[in-house]
Amino acid sequence: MQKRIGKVLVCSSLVVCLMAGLTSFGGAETTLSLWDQKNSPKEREAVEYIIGIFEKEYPEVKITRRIMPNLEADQMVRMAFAGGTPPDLSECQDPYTMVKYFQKGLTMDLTEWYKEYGDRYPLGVKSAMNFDGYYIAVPMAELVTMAVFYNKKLLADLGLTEPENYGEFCQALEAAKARGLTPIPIGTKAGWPGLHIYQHFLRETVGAATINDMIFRTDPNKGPRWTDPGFVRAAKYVDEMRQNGYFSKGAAMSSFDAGKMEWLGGRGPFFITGSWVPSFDFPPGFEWDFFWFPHIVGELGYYRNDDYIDLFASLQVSSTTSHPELCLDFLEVWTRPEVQHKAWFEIANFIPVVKGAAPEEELSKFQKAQLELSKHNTGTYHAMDCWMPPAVGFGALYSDMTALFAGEITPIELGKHMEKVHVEELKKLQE
Amino acid sequence: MTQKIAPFWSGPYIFILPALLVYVIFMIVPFVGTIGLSLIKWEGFSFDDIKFIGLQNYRDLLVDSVYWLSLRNSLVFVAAAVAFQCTLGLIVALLLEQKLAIGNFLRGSYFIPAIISLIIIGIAFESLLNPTLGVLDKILRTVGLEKFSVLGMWLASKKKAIWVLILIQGWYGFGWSMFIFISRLKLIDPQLYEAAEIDGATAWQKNLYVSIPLLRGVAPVAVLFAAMSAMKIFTVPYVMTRGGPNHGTEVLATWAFSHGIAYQHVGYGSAISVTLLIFGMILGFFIFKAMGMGRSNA
Repeated sequence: MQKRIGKVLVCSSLVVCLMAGLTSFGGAETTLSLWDQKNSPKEREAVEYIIGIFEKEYPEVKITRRIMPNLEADQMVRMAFAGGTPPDLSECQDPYTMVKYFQKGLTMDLTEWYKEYGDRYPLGVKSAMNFDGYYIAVPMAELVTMAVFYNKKLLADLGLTEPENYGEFCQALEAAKARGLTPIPIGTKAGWPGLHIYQHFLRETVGAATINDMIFRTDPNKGPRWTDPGFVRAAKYVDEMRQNGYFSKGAAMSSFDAGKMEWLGGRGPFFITGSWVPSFDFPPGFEWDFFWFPHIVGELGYYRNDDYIDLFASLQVSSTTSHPELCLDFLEVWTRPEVQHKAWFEIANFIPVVKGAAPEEELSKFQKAQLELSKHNTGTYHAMDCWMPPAVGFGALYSDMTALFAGEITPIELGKHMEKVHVEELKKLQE
Repeated sequence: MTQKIAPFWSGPYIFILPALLVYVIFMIVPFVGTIGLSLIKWEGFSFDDIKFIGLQNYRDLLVDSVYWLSLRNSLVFVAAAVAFQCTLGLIVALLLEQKLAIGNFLRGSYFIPAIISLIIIGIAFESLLNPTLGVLDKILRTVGLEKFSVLGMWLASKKKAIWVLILIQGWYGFGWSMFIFISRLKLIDPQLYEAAEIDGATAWQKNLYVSIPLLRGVAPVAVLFAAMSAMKIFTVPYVMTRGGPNHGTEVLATWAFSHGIAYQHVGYGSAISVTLLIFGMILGFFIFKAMGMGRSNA
């Protein structure tokens, strides 16, 4: 009996030692976790390329990557922070929350890193990452602009050219509708595709400065209101488009991808969205071009050249990471001009914000236009959904946009509801 | 003679301890935690920011019009689920017991929706019902049923969208009701049917006077299952409509999710979750009592 017990103890000890040895052997590698939202094929490839470069230079480090769905990504990251197990590096497309992370001490102060590598960015881009004198994140990839993209062949078949103003644009939409096409394929179930169109009209009716004033409104009793004539008028323009039948059938309940498929399938000429279009997988023979959303004669925007230019995605580092130096090294690799050029410019067809990553002679027509816009605009504004408190931006604004596209609310009702929700939220934040 | 009470550490209690532990850890603890969260104001970033506000979240619920709309929608789901799922499940169960050649195959087929992920179902139906790209409209037009081709557009209507979701949820869940009824039908003594046949009963009369009365014992189970499942519905509305348009398909679970997770109102979202549980318990209690569950059949 004693011999048997002895044998069991010896065998158990050997097994435990073996497992410990195997574990420590397997664990010789350091792991950094990266959570990002680069989920389209080209974007994925771009990130994999950057990871490959880093792992080659740091062979003892492995990056474990988690690709998150766009709409839920910021929630996932926030839950991870709240639970105390955030990823080492994470993408944030929610600047409002990104600032909160930093204020709560959850993300790292990158000021020292910026002292060494910050000059890789133009001043305007750098300053966008500055909060209260601290640098809190690193822009991931591209400058984002919004445009009207069109199917060249369809437009030519309709006998049309790029419209000079909104009136001509509406004529083009009528021509497409008369031909049985969907003038503007769109799926806005998620709210944000429709919001982009609304913001184009806001640019015309209130201008960039007022849009930004609304975004950064902190006092419920001050600043612009959603019931102001300019805001209501912008919603009316959207509603008129809906009533005229310019949007896809059931646009309010279709996904962005459904709208995209409609456009790529040649069912409609115009697609109004952001500068990620060049990264689409286009069907063979599909030729596209673009123009900036046309100005409306008689509106404020007609006499200006305001436009939407924003930095969407940023990389932040968790303040509780076990490998802060490695994370900063990863940021250094990520922001190298040659790496950005290969990953974002060549693979993903974006225009990277890092200086030197997009040589002028290699820029496409669209990219050149984006750069021109960034240099010669009269004012730029942010994406309202990402910069306002979530209950306002991701909540009421998305939901009301969908309702507007469904014809379920009027422009005035939208203004009243948005004002009510925004004021309530601001009061809660003040408590 | 005094009754012997088994000590806690004896056989029966030891055997239920693992399951009880799992139940406590994964059900009771989160429930108590949610009640605790419902009494605070917290954005969900850091525990240092938690602020106790008592019943303020519940007071805010009283004036939240979307909350009452979502409660109404949840109750509509329950009523429709019970009616649709249980009725269809009963009808299909009775039909499948008619000794069909492919009865077993059909039994399995009708149960398939119940084992598919609701996310997949939501995405699939969203594609099918798309007015421009979906196949449903094309099929309906091809077979001359154009007037029914507006079903996809119903999803864009605040009043009608919920009925599309109810149909989909019903299609998903009727297999469970069918399964419950079939399991009871299998236990009915065939001699009862033979006796009815001798008395000249038709197939319809056999179902009406033999099968259905004997199913009364399991009907409450099917109703309770369908009702509870519908009360906590989340996936189909979230995937297909995100609670829209204009909160037309918002249910308690999606509204709790929106506030608790998306809007950084953890306390308020938890308060909605607590009320969902309370309404679910009240509903379950009423079904239990109304259908005579737990009573002896002697």
